[in-house]
Amino acid sequence: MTSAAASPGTPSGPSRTPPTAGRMGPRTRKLWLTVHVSVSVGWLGAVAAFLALAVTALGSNDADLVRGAYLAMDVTGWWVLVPLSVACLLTGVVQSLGTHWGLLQHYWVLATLVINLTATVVLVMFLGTLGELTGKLRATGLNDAAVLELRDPSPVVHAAAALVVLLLATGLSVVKPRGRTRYGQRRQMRAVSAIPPADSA
Amino acid sequence: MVDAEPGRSREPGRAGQYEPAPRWVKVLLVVGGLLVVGFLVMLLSGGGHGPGRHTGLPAAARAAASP
Repeated sequence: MTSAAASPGTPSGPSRTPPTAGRMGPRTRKLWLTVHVSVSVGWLGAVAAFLALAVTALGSNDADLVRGAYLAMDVTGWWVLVPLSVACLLTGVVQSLGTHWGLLQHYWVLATLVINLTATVVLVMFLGTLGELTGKLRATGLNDAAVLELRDPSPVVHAAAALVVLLLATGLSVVKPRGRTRYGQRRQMRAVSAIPPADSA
Repeated sequence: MVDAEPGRSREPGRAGQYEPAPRWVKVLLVVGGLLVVGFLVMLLSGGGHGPGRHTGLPAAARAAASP
């Protein structure tokens, strides 16, 4: 979730880097930003829907509803959450590398990258374990009592945690808190020293 | 005397002269570190991970869920 919309001159932006440092033109940058924001917000919404399914499955005494909710979670996870998380990661990396922000120069970009990577890895691992549960639910001959026994708080815990970290990443992307990494400070120093003084002519 | 931009009074680039990480970064690192340690403790203590392992699901249900 690195909405690295380069805006040189803003208080939190890399205002002293030369204008040629960005690699994307304005149109390309806006296109990538639109795609990145779309998949990021889509991911957040999909996690909210996943959480609703998880809460429904955990709290219901209707075996059909429980079975349906877990199967829907499995499908949603692999066909919506994973593609969106990977798309968010890829577009975020492209967006940051193609703008003045850079991938490793600002703490907020680095933090959103780590959050995105971690969330994606945990998501894939979690869906593997969820698959064990849905595998049992797909098996024939499982009576209602056995289905209700399989109700599990784990999807609620994972989805709630995902919602919190994705909201945190969204907040970081919007606020863009100040702070450069050491690498970013070295880059900034080199960029500043490359600009000739205004009164040198 | 030239007015220094807030938070940029020292020039980076030389050893020991980097701006320190902001407080929000340190808070995030501490919280993230605690979560990782908690997760590792849970794994090493045999708690396992995934459906049925988070909040003490009945053993019968865990057995039913395992392949």
